Amino acid sequence: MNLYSLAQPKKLEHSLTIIMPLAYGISFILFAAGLYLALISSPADYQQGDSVRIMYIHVPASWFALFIYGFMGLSSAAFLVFRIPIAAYMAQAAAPVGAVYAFISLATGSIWGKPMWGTWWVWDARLTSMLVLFFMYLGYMFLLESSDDKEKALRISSFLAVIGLVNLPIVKFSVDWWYTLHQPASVFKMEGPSIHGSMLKPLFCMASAYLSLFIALVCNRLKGILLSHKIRGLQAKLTWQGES
Amino acid sequence: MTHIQFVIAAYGIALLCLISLVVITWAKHRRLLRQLKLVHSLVDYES
Repeated sequence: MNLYSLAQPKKLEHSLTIIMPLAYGISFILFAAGLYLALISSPADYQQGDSVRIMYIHVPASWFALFIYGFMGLSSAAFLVFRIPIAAYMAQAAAPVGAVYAFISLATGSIWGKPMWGTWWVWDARLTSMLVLFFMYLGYMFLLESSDDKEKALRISSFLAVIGLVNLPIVKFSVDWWYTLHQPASVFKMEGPSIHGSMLKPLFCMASAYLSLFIALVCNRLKGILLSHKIRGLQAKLTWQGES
Repeated sequence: MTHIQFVIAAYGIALLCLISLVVITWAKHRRLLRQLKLVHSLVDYES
């Protein structure tokens, strides 16, 4: 089976039926382990105290909010260039997950900012570009619902998703390009991670949990999209049978 | 608020969002399955 065979709905549905429950199970286990490591096992910070534990829920959400938008943008580009409808459906399935992850990143970041920075919000480059990313997600989802002509809505929202890719390097490098309140990168940088292993372990465990939940939810939503197409086809057949 | 309260608030909001997302996704999927079953039976009845 090659990658192109997954563009056929029947083969894709079969693969999704296998992957979905596995991904849900793995994400449940990883979240349980990650929450234990984050809240109980990992040490408090010598400066931040227990507030540092917010890092384990905030940072992976931020990473995957960016990753999912990249996934959406590339899938939309594949749809526009190669005319593969399944690519557009994958972007459609991923959008709400990415929006929720971006919201979690903004909300938990705000809650972390209050005890650390003394403020719930500042208009610095990282926070503002992350808010823009969240609005791009919402814009994509609203555009999809904006027209009765679903093909047209899918094309327009795919263009928005591709254009929005320009925001990803802005979010990532905002802490380097501008003088920001938000701290620079501590994990993914040229010199390697600068945080201790006892904190890296729960961080990567939670990141894996977020990733597996994303895979499970995208599989679930993609199955739903394929189902709704099947239903529309049958309804059209019903109308045709009624007329004849 | 103490630091622990901030941690509880952050985790509470995040887990509420994630659980809601999972529940809504599952509920939509089940609704579509019921709708498919209904439309299938209507098509069989008509033919």
